[in-house]
Amino acid sequence: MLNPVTTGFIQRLRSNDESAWFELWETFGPVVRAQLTRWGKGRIGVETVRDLSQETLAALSNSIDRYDPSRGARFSTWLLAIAKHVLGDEIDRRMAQKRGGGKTAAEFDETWMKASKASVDEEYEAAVFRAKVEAAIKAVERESDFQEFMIFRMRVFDGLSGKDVAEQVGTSEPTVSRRLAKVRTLLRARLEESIRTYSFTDDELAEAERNGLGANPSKADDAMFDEAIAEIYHRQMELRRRDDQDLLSGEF
Amino acid sequence: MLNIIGALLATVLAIALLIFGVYYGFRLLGLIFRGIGAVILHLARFVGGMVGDTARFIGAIIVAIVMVPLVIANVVIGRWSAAGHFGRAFQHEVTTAGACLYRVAIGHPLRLLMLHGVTEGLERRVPAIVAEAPTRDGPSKATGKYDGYKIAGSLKGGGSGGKLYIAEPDEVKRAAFERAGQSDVDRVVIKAFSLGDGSSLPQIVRESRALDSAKKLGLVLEHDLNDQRFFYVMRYVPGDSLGTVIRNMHAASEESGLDDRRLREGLSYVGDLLETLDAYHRGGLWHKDVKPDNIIVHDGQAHVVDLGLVTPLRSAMTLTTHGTEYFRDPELVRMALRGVKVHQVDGAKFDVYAAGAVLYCLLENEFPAHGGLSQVRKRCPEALRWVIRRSMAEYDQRYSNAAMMLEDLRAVGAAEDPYLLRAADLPSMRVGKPIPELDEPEPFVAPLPQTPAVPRPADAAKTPAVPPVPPAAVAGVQAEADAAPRRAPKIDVAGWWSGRYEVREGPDAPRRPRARAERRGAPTPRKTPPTPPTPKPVRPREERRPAHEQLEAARARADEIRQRAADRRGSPRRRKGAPRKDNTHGGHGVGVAVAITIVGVILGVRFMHDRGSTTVTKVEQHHEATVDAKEPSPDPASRAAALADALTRLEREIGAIEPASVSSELIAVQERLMSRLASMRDKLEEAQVSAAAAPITDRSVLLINDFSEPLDPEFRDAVASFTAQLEREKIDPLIGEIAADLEAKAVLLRAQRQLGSAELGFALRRWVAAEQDVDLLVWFEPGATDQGVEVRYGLYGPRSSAVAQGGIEAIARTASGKAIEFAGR
Repeated sequence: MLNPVTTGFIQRLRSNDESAWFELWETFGPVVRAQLTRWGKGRIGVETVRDLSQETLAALSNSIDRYDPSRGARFSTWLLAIAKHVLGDEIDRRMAQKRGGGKTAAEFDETWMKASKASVDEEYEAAVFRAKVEAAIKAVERESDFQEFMIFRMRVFDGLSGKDVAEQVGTSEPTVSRRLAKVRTLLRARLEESIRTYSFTDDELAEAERNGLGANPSKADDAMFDEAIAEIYHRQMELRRRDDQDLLSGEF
Repeated sequence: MLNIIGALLATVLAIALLIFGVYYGFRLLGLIFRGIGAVILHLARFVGGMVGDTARFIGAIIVAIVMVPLVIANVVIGRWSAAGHFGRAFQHEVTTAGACLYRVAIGHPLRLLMLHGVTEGLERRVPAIVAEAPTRDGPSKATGKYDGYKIAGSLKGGGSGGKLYIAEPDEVKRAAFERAGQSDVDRVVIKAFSLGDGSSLPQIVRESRALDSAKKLGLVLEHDLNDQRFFYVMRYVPGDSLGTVIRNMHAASEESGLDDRRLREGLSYVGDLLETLDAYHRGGLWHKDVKPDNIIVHDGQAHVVDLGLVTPLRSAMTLTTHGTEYFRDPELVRMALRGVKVHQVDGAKFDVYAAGAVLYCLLENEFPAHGGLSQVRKRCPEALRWVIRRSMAEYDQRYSNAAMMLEDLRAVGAAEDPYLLRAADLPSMRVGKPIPELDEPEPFVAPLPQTPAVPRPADAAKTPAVPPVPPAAVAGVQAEADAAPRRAPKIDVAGWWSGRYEVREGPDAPRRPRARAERRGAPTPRKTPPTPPTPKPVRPREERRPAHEQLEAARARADEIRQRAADRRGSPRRRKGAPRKDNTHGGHGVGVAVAITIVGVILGVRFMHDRGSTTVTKVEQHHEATVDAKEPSPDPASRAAALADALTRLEREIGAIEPASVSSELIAVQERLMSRLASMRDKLEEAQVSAAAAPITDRSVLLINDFSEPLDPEFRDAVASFTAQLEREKIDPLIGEIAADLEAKAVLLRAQRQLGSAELGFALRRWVAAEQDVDLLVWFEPGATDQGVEVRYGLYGPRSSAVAQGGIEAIARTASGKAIEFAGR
């Protein structure tokens, strides 16, 4: 059964709330693009992949009404299934094998809705999880005071020492620590929300815990939490950078 | 004994050395295996790439060969569309084959030799340069010629769909430009949109909307519109785009980032950009498409080009998502999707975000793919990193204007060693320093920052660099500056294309020296060479204020105009009978101008009136087709709002006419018009008040909710409570078949529109007004629970209903624990 937060989000998608679709696109667009690029590399160009990923979300929009949460599919599988469907459709069209011509979508394969123990693409699953963490970081950036978030950013993402951060910002080290803790607390809360919003199964809900980003850690876990967040942030940065470079390099 | 100790020590040493050796031996082995693994992986990638691309090349060639007879056959039988389709497929296959061939012959071998730097040049910079190549050098036959211009070349068009031609004006045109105050126009850019050349009407409409704004900044020399095409002419600024300049700067620098000289050079370009943006914002406009490709570097100065999306900050239009990804604030997209109006946001902040993205690009030679969270990895002063992050921070937290960002950037540029400058030393970080908001500008004259721009490398070399200043010292200097008599600088827009301006200092500087001198019969002072164009007045940016304050301001302006006119009539100069150039020379012209102004105002009001009627008619037609509309009834609220908008616009336009440049007759006309408009405004407000106070005569309420069964018990109770309250107020909630029928119609009318959108509100109010069986529609839908809202509701009726509002509040109270949100009416 879906949790209420996810239900609310899905409800927004179902009612064609454009801001919900934009949110989904902004959060998972690069992951979907990366996956499509991996599958379609050499067969379709980057521009096509970029267009396709928009088509993917349009397909999501059409299929969301048919989604039955009781059948146990993961959120990531939901995204992936549609990406596969759209890519296959495009390749069919490209190879001039499309039935009857035109741009009507092929019959949608709904077998993905069943829970499956088939081998999951771990890289993709990890990317989806990182995207959820990234969404939480963005939410914290929106809600935090600029200076507080900058302190967190310099300390955790840029790896500056507490002393250096204090000197840059013109404050004391204890103040830096306090502000850091404040942002960390907010991030934990937003992370929980983000995971709950974009998860269909219990397994997905437990992902944060498994990755050292649990909701109720001890104080000693703070350093690990920061480290895990920083690693995820840098990996997401790399993903987006690759995405950007793929676009720039065009068909090459 | 010593021998034993020596032997023990030797043994211990030997064991330690052995452990050490084994440990490092294994590490070395690990490294060797890792290296071998990396080499094997590298080779495997090479082999895989070569084999894959060779196969792909063969496949693409075969497909291309298959396409050729199909193209020929379709050409022969005259199936042009099919021929075009197969032709495009052929072109695509050839392109694919070419790319594969490149990778097989050059790309993979170079990467095998670890020469990624070479492949980057070939794969990134070459395509970028090719993409920037101009198109054909002349307009097509469909577009036609441009009288008075000789086309000399073309420029790469942007996303606006227009064609850009470089042209040389003939003598007649140049003389016309001279007369208009635009001297030394040797080359111009013609931006042309032709329906016969692929442009669309929306593109033309959008661009012409931007043209109005661009004219305010004096950036357009000439424009023309006919049935088939639209074009406007701007001064040409030669040079490379900042994108190209950045790529070249990075290609010439080390991998780690820009060196100090190039960093300062780049900062000076961004400083130019910010100055120009600040001038735009003070002129009441925002650029909306700031990116490196829209910045031209010429003679060491950056000029902002492409006016295609320039928008008035006070525009009543809904925000659009136009712009360029990575340089467009994601918040802008969110707001646009919510249907936010331009005047409800501070557009200048979106330009500030884009300027931050440009600064990021300068340092990283990459787009900020991660928005505000993008990481600056290359060599960069920490303070500059702070500036980037502040400019790309969330909408509410970033620099409030371009001047503020420029101030910080100047501090970095002026520092002897920018790497020693702390973020805490930036002007925006000074404790207790008020955020430098834009001053209220004088009419038509936008004040500009008085401090010099970011010093260019050459200037920096000449002048001793300034070390970081302690905050206290800076505060002292600031206090001195504040204590000094304020010298409001004046702006003359000198670069029509780039928005460049010249600043005249001090309150003594005459506002229009040339015009005054001409009036007095004195010889006109002209600079030689080059003569700057006569400045076009820059409309100041107005603070967003409530309507009643704007009205008061308009009235105050009218009073001021009256006062000035009275002063002028009674001035000693007039009493002495000093010649009045305008009056003596402009008798007939003034009469015609007065007549045109009056007719214009009447037509304007009439137009607004007609437009309202036209809209009503269109909506009614739509209803006939969809929901069986009844006799149309007017909507006083929307009509009143439209009239109020029209009045505000007219008041602003008329009030903004500069009195110094017109005669006393015109001033008198202006006064009368303002007075008349104020009187109309009063009447309109009275009518609005009386309409709002009108009793509700019809009392049938339709409730629609989008909640699916089974309903949450709390929500069900809340609705029941609401219904009961309505019944107590003797209002009938509609039920049964009538309600179902009406609900179906309303749902059909709503389609996919947002509950809070203005468009839906308008359509539903119209429908309720036209529908006899329903007088008020209350629509519930599930809220965004992840945002803490569980129920949203919209309220639609021809008049505001205090009773229904009370009912809604009752729901909110009853459904304690449920967050309810008003979506719109």
